[in-house]
Amino acid sequence: MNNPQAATAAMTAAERRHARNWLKQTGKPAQGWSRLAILAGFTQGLLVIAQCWLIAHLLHAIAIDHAGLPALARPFALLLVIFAGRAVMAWGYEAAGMRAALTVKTSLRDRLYGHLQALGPGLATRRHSGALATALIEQVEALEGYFARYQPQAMLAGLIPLACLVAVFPVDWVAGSILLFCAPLVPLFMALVGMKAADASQDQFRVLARMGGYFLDRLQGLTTLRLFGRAEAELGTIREISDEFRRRTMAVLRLAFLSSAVLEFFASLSIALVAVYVGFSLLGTIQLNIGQPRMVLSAGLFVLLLAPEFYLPLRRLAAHYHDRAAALAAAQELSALLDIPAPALTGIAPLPAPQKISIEFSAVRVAYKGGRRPALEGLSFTVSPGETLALVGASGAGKSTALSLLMGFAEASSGTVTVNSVPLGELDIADLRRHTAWIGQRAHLFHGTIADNIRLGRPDADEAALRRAAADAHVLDFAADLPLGLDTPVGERGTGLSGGQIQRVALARAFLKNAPLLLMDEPTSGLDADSEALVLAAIRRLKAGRTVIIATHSPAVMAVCDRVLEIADGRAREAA
Amino acid sequence: MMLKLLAKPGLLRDLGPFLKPLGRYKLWLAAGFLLSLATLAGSVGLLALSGWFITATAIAGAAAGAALTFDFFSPGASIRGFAILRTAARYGERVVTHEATFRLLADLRLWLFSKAIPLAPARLGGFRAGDLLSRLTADIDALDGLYLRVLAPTGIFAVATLIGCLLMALVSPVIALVAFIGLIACGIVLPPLFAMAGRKPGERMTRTMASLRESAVEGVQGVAELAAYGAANRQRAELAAASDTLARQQQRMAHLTGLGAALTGLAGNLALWAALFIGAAAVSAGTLAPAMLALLAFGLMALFEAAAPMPLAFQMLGKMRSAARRLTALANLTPATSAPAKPLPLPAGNRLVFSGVSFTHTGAARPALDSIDLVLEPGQRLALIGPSGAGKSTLGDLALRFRDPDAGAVTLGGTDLRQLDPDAVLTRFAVVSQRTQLFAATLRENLALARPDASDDELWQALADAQLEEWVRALPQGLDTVLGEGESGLSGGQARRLAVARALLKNAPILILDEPTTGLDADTEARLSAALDRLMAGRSVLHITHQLARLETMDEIVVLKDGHIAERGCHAELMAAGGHYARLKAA
Repeated sequence: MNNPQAATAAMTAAERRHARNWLKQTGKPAQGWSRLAILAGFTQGLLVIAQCWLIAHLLHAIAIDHAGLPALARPFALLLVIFAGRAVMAWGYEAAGMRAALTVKTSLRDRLYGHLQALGPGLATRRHSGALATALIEQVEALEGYFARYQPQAMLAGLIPLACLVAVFPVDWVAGSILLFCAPLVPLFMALVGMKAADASQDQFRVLARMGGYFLDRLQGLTTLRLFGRAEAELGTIREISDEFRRRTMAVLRLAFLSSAVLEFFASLSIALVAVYVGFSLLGTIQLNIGQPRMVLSAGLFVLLLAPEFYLPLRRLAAHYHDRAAALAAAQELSALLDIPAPALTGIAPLPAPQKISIEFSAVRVAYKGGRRPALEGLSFTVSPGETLALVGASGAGKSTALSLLMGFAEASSGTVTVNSVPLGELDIADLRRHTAWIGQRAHLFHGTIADNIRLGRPDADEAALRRAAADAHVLDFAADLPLGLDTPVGERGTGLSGGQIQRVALARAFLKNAPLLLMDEPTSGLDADSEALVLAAIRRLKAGRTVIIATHSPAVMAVCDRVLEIADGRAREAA
Repeated sequence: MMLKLLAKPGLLRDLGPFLKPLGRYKLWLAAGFLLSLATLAGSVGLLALSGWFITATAIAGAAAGAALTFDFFSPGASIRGFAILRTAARYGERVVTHEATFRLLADLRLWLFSKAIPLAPARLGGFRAGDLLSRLTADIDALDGLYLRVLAPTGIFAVATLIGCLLMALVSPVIALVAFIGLIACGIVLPPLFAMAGRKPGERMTRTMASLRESAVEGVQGVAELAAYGAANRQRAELAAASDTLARQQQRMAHLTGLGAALTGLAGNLALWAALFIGAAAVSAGTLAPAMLALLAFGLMALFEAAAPMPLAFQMLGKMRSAARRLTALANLTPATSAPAKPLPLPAGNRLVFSGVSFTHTGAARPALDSIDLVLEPGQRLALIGPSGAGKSTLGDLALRFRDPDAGAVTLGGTDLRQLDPDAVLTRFAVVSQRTQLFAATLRENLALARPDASDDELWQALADAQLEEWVRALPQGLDTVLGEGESGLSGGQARRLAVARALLKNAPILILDEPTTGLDADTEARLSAALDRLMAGRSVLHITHQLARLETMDEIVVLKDGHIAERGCHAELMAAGGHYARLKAA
């Protein structure tokens, strides 16, 4: 679901609580800045109270005391000081709030990225890689509003009205009571309206998600719609869905508007009540504030000026409410990602005799949390130094999981994997990786040139070594035809290479790295016969003198291997 | 300045097309505007009248006896009236303007969709997958604020400033002038300055965001490579650096926003200060009644509410302009093929002929197809084979008239496709390719796409022929099972068999198979092939593939290489010739 609010609406109370706690924990490193933002906001609130008091006194002095300008020099000067102070605090509030959000975002993003790296490529196949990138970018960004605006405002919505009451009560307790008694009615009525709004919004968010999805879906499928001559007919459906969306949204919005109208009504009503009460008191027709001196103009104006300020923080909080919804939805997704357990990787032993690699799996079981059945169940096999082993079996049989274990992206739940007789758990995984080359089903090319991509493992490799690797992997065969040769930019936005060419670049990487252990995950899947032949020629050359494990479906690939091991239901079944 | 900005030809050019549809909702928008004005009047009236009332009562109360003759009923009632007016008008205004905006948004969506139809697939292919579509939805949503957050607040601000200051001028021209200057500063001078100052860091932010996304996507997709080649820490540092740069720019923006808020607030406060200062002098000079000063001061404070949404309006204006520009750019794309002014009626025959057809993709160095001659007789089966990039799929696109050839002609039943309506041509074709577009709808709806009036019996027959009946019968919801977006929930083989079922329902005379079996394992492929056999019976077939299996039954096999026909003939002939086909078959 790509709408954060839609996601929040679908959250249960327990999930919301969990998300709130997670946000609280995540916000800890930025607490200092958050407090500074609250301090700035609160100071500004106090300055507003002081400003109201000064203006009330000025008007009193002018209207009642008939004071001339010279006598008013001091309050006028003081007002300027307050204005300056408010300006500084307004800036500080914004800057400190943002700083808090930025602190949270950058540290969280780094933590999440590290976690994704530890989880390895298996995660990207289970979850769309685009969704993971969205988590790293958008969902982390979605926390900004919460930490920069909502959180400080939530504090201010409590503090500032309190400060207003503290200021008003000594001046006139009746006016203070009007504010105090109107105030609790506000959340009460808002909650009553809000409860209905929550029900309605669940409904509406579902329609919203559906409509967004529908529109995207139909745009994506335009070609298919055209093929069936249904594109024009879709216009009618889109119109219907838009109309339904509008009706439902308006139903929610009417309630939302009603709840802010309630807030506004009480704000307006208390201004009106205060004004009328103050007016009668000043006229002397009534005298309610028993125990306090008869009201004077300055007191009346002060109370009147403060009445709107009393409600302002609440109104602002309501305006930032969507920030909270977005953050809660993001928090749920982010915490779920961070909760996926990553392999521990605590080993420190260096790989002994790294030039010759032997591998032994004995009774290895791997079970993913939430997986229906274990990915591997009692897999045992050995690979001797210099041997090339093909792992075959239906998709999902556990071939990729076996390779993931050797890359340190997965952990055996029971059984052991040893490399040169050292259990994987004791090995320093970084050292093992130094001696491993890996080629995936569709190798990833990074932004940069073909040469940059070949140099991935050895950025300092010289030109001669680079060209040799490129020649061995048949990269030069096609690169020679490109105007820029090996310096041709590739990647998402660069010149597109064909699937076979990409695999050959990946092989060149492995040639250049010259590692004794070579792991390949379906290196020729989806290639046409010509391309597969070239990739196989390169693999034949690359495997010489190395220990190689290839997961594959292709009979042609099996033909270049010394031995074929079939995995079925997580177990080995030796074939040939 | 705002008016000048609005009058800029660029701005009008960008946003103009999106202003026109507003005309349809004139009444709605006018009502919203009046209600909005009433809200502001309520606010100003409430505060100004309260200020005046309190001051007047204080003066009356101080003067013995005056209190008894003071008419406090009408001001008291007016104050309550203003309070209610403010609340009610704001509620009404929000309901009305949002209603109008949603209607407008629906219009925009429809307009965009109808513009996009003829662009698929040739013109939309140039956009990166997903990027275009998500931008289109986001851009349309960005425009929803055009009236709500830009036009209406600006109009209200202008009218409120004029009326408010004119009314004030009746009491004190000097204070009215001060208020006017303050309002202009808050609403028109400062916001665009800050919007402009924020543009550069804003653009840099967008760029940094793009490189951050790049690092993130690469880090996620290339995680195994990064780990295996010791580049993981390098990539992580790169991501952290981009993240930091983004943070620095966001901090700079926050400083600007903070400064903007500070200065706008200050300008309003200074106007109030000046009004009080001038008022004090006027009161002591006896030219202004004290209660009137309170009225002016309080009214002025409330009037500044109208300036509050202006910074946002200017910010949104920039965003909307770029959104509008992107939408217009898409809407203005010329479709790759369009119907001639007077399309000829669709000919009766289905003989498909390519004569001397050449086609070069935009920006490509070599033609994808170079003087190709091919004939697909009704009922004939023709296989197009060759390595990826040999131009096989382009040939399919030309047959479907998704594109027109640069030279030569494609004719259907003897009529040049260019003289026909592209959508009419499509009625003769059914396509099964390696990617099946399924819609987020029920199975029934996905099938009915091919024949909206199909009965359930017909649907089940198609499913049976496509080897899907057993699977659908086992689904608890049967035909009413809702499919997810994309292909989720279905295996690749099932999705393709569903495409076969659709093609069966469509019952078109010419069938294009575009690598339908790519990437399937042997079992799945066998089931799909059985379904395809049913589909091919009695139809002309153009089978595009790079796999050489099961081509023995084809009437003709054409080997394409680099846009040329390398060899052609039936299976036996090609094997006998010992050329490219025979070599590949032997490999």
